[in-house]
Amino acid sequence: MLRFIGKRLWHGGLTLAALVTLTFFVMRLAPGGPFSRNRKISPEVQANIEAAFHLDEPIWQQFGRFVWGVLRLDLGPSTRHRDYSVNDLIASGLPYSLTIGFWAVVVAAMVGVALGLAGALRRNSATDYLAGIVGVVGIAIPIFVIGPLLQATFALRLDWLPVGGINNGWHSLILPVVVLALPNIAYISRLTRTSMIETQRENYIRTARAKGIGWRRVLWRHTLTGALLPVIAYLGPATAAIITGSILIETIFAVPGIGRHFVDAALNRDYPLVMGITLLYGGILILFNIATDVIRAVLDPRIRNER
Amino acid sequence: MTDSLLSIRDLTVRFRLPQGETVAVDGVSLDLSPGEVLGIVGESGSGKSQILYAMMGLLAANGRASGQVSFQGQNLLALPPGDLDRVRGDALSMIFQDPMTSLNPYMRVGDQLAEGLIVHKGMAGTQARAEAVRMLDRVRIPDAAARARRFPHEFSGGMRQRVMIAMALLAKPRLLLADEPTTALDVTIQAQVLDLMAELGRETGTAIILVTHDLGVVARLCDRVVVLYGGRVMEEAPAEVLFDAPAHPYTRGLLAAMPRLETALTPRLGTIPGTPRSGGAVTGCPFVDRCEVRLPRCATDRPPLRDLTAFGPGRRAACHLTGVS
Repeated sequence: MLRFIGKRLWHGGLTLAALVTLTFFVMRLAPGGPFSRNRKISPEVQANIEAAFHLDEPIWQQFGRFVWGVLRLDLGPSTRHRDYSVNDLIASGLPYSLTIGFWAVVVAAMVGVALGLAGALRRNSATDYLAGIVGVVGIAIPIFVIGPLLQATFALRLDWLPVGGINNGWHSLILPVVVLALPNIAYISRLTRTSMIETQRENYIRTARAKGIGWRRVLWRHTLTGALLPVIAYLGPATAAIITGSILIETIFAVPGIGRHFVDAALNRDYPLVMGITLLYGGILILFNIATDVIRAVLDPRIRNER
Repeated sequence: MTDSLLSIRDLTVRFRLPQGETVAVDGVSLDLSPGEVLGIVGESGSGKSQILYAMMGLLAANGRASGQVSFQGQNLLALPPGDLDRVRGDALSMIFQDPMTSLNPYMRVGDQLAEGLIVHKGMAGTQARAEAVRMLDRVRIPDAAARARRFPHEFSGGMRQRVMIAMALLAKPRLLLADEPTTALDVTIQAQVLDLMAELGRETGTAIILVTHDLGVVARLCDRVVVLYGGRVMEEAPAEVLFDAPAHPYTRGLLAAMPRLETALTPRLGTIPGTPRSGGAVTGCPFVDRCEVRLPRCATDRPPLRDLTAFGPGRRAACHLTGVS
């Protein structure tokens, strides 16, 4: 198992290196630069600024400088946000995104799996239909519609929760967590239901039932493992995407997370910030994929033996 | 029959389908004595497997069984799920057709075997696993103690079916149901697996119902044979006489379609013309469309299953032509 993890980490590192290299050069190919503005500035000033950020160096030298920085865990200064380093920007935003994302994943996984199981075990019952409706609503209605609707109801009309911001402790978390979890609840519950029903039709479940060990044991010891494997496979990459922040959630609920940096940095050609965020998101995604594979390998001996 | 282990009376299995109801098993009655090996033969769709599934409470969700299946004084069809679970896997167990998919891929083989003993016999885990290893050894799994800690995908098809046999016989059942246990296996190991099953059955005094479409298997292992067609019993006879003197036209057709070593295949192997009719209620004999000796009344009158004392003891057939002669 250790060899399996080690090999996956090594492959993950290679993937990340390729991703970062590709991003670095593609970003430079895109027209414009961090200091191209509509307002003309004198060539001397432009040259001075570019020299300060080493943009006057040949591109391979810039790349070397960037790689050397990554190795020292220094991602350099932001070209857009003066006086802030990329490390500062990530350190200030990431905790908010992580907190909201973490709880959203927990809520989505628990509620989603519970709804899916209930639907599969009591097919065509009221619970099943309710879960189905939640699923359709959660998938079909976008976050930017549900978010303001919930704000209008629970914050403005009922005054139970803050509209947004981060200053009311865990009360501030409830609405963004719920809104972020909702589409995932929908997806996870559908996935769990389908996968449960498929697994219940497997021959080995018939064997288990024929053993007369009672339906509870059939469910817990035989059906759940197989049924939850696809859900776990989905949860890995989904968790990486959720905890790294959502620009929609952060905009709707005025949360100073890092989600908005994803978009802003690219639009502003803030090269160091783009690279920092790519590295962060890529790293988290790869880590969660490895974690998913490890969990699946623990549950499924056939994956373990592939190596 | 006073020493009857199993007594099936008028078992009917229906399936609800979008296009209406279909009858898979149509009023089947059977008896089985302790330790007896009964073969049920018939072609695909004759309802032979569904008889076993009905007994085990494993019919598909749209299936319904009616009639009576008395096993050790209990009607299996009327038992609540909890009581049925006390019978199946203990006194009544089953081996399935496809060993490749019938074992849980996520669970160690030894644990899958031990599970039944823990639940039914109240054994402790270590004791149950030791029993499981002993049983694996008896079905000739080499190095059973180490193999018990392996997963099903590390076993070949033949070995998996031997594991299934070990699992089914572990609780020393009174009756073993085997649903085409060798169909999915290599021809070279079919006989080996069947002989093993029969041998262990004899040792534990377990009666066996063997469902198959392979008449060679029946000749090899069974004491008695029931021939099924369209969900109905066509003929029932001791195995040795069925092959020498089949009473029903369908049985004769089946035997003619069986390759034999002593006769050359010239001009070619016999076939039964036509295909079985599917679904729907039949008023007359279900075999009428394909029968070469049919009478006009066969299409309208259902021939009852009659004792054929003239042919010898324990013989029954459902044909207007037999018994009158």
